[in-house]
Amino acid sequence: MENCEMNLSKNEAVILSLLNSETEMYGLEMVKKSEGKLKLGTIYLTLSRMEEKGFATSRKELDPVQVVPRRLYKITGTGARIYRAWTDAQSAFNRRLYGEENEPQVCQLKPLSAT
Amino acid sequence: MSKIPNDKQHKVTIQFSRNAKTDFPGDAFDIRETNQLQQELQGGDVSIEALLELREWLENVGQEKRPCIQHAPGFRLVEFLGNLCHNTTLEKRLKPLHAEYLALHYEALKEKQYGKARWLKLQMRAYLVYTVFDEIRALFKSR
Repeated sequence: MENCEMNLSKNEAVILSLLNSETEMYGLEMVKKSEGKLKLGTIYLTLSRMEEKGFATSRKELDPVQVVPRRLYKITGTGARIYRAWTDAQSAFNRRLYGEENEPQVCQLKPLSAT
Repeated sequence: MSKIPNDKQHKVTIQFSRNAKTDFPGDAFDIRETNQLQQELQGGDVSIEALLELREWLENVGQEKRPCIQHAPGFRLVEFLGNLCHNTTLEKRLKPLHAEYLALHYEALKEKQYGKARWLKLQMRAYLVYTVFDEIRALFKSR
């Protein structure tokens, strides 16, 4: 990993979390599992950018039933490390913001004027 | 379902249509004409049964009823857009996007949701064009 910046967009983070839990996935599967966070029209733009960054690899599906072969995506080692670092950074950020107990829900309930 | 005629039957059809000079007139297909055609054909080994089978096929499967091979929606657009952008864009962005939308489109057709299928077709075309625009925009941005 050469000077890999942790420049993850929201969509990329969602995709990495999905790919981290499964072995191989195709675009439509990701869109269905993301519960509306990803859009089918733009997912392949994000995926190809992630491939250029080295976070994921892809291959053509070898299913004779499929009329047009789909593309299956898999997370790489770099992608998995980046995702781990991102989740760690996220939890550290939350700890700093909401205190050591890490109770964001309780803090969010407090109105801003009361603080 | 009617059988698709073989080569010999096809020859007879061509010959018959040339003689008749009309588009497969079922009523004009007389048995005397078929005998004549049989003699005219080289070898003359086309059986009457085969010709009757052909007649049945021509009568039952009219020109408008015959299945025609159609392109998948967006197929020509992908081919056209593929010429405008890089090969990797075609392979990694356009083709998978097209494949996924086709899968959704056929799924909608299977469920007889024709409105949804039409909407998906439109959406697919818009996103395919958007993908190429994004590629061109990125190219200018990098320069």
